[in-house]
Amino acid sequence: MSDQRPIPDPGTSPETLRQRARALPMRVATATFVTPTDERLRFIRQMGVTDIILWGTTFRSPRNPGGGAVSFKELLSLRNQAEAHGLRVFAVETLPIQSYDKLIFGEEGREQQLQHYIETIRNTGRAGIPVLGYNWMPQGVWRTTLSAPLRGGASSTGFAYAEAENAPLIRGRRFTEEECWDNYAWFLERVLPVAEDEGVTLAAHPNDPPVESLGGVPCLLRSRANFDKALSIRPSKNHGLCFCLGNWTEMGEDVFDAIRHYGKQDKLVYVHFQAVRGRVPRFHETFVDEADYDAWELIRAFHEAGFKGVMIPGHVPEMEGDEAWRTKESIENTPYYHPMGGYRGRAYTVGYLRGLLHALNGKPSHD
Amino acid sequence: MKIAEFLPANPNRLWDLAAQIGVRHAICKCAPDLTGLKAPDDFESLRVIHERFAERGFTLAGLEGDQFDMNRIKFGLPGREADVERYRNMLENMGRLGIPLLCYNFMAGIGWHRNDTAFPLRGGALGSSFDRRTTPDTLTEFGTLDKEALWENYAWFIEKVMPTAEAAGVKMGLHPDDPPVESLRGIARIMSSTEGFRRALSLSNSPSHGLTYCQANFTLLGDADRTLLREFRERVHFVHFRDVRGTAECFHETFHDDGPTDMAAMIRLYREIGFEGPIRVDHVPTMAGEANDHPGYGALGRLFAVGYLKGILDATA
Repeated sequence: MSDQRPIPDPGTSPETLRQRARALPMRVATATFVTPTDERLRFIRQMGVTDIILWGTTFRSPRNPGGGAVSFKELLSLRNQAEAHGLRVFAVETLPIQSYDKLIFGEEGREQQLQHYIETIRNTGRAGIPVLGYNWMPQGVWRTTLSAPLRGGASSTGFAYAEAENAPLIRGRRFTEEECWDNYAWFLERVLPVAEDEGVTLAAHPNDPPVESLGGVPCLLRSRANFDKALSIRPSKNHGLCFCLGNWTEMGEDVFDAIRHYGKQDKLVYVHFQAVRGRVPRFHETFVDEADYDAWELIRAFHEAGFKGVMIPGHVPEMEGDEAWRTKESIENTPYYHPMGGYRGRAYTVGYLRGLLHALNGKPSHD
Repeated sequence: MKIAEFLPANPNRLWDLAAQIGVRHAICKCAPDLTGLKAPDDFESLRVIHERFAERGFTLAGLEGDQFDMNRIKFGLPGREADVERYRNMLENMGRLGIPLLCYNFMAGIGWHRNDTAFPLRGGALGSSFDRRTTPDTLTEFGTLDKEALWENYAWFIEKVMPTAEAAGVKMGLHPDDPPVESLRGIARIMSSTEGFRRALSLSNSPSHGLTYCQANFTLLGDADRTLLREFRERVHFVHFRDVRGTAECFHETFHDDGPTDMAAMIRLYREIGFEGPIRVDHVPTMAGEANDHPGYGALGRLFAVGYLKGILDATA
């Protein structure tokens, strides 16, 4: 049976694990909230996936969100749990906002948040996890509809800026672009050296949606120019992109050129293969085969750009009779409701992406 | 090529699921025990089913399997004349309604057979397996039937129905035996080798007389190099797209993306031979969280397999 498990030998160093991950070809992964059930991990492995991403908004540590770092033991334990199912952990993605809101706003208390963040980066690396995906959104993802109609009665989320542009101020006043960049630079200058020491790559996710500002706060990561600027603040091999195809499409940028541009610089760390129709100021999510983009052309572009990371479905549409991918903890920890589809949508999307990859490369002798 | 899904005659959640993944063509087995209606030799029953699909935006691309008891025809028993007359009526009804395909088999007595429908696959998913060594050798109620007798019955059947199929514009796609072994429990199997298919196809030159290229079974019966597929390219009416590991005597079905076959190469080959008919993903493993009460047809496995097929189709378009 072609069911090789990527369980490392006991005593494999974190650096070796990270190097092995980087040597693997472009492949499909799945992100999950914590703590994943055995059934969920079996389902993921059954789809031929061998890498998972852990969504950090549901970690059990620290006990008080923002009150400490994500613990080394929790991360190691999650990695071991994944390995028991033949899965690697490729990344931790998205810490709770209480871990970095003061960093975004440059407020008192940001030094403490910085120390916890640094500790989280260290613990991630020491636990043998190569990537920490992060965003710079003070209030997470914004949508203005949860029921955009799709084919066959499926539905998805959508966004119309007209409904959000007059949202009340998030933090009591308007912030300028300049001060936001200053705060972001302050953060990068201090965490990137740690990431380099620990061998962890930080991967920046765009603002979702990538509009100019929301609630009086500029959305920094909303364009290629801004990403270039972000990467130029203390340039580092350990700083790259979580290339979210949904958001990049919404930006209205030439995505193919962006893939070439960042691929050349080895900045494509991993991909969210989210599917979108439309662009800012108005768009909605959809099935991977019905996006405005041509998924196959994108796969070829990633291949030509030398991309070797993972791609996850991200959000998928709501389908008939599906079981939600969001867990109870993730719903409780998030102060707004945002459905992300379920098992069925992921089975379809992962199947589709694996079909594209097999058409590109032929089937590997093992996954 | 048109992606089709095997859907029940009565609308249910599967219809919604199929529409949500963009499947617009249906394949249906309209046997009375499944539909609650009469068999498709009754025009009104078939018309109702056809209309249900049309109302929901599906094209009924074909019927598959035995639509009523075929054993008198297959065993050459008294009463087969009446049965073949029903078969002709069914073909005429299909012609009237514009249902262009009938996927049929010539397995007598015992049809599709597996020893185990909980064979462990990748990640603990459940597939099906066959092993001749653990299959009982005892006779069934049908007794014995030798090859030449079965051939005679098949030839008789083709002679009786093919002109009607042609006049009705229905393509009949002969499906291989599954498992494609020489005999099972005393009953011969004849559509289980490349010679068998050559002989079967030689019985009529009608454009209606063709085959269902169930690629997994054809791998097992000796067409792994696809010589027969290429040779009879114009007579492929339907494709079953799935994979299998092993031999005809001992095999298990796999996930579509986890067997020995280069599935993208198969799709490229179907394109190369000009196949433009329906293609369906056939059997899928049962996945985590699913009860294994409909082996081969669980929802998660179907979604994964159709996604996989669509990905390959989009990549090779």
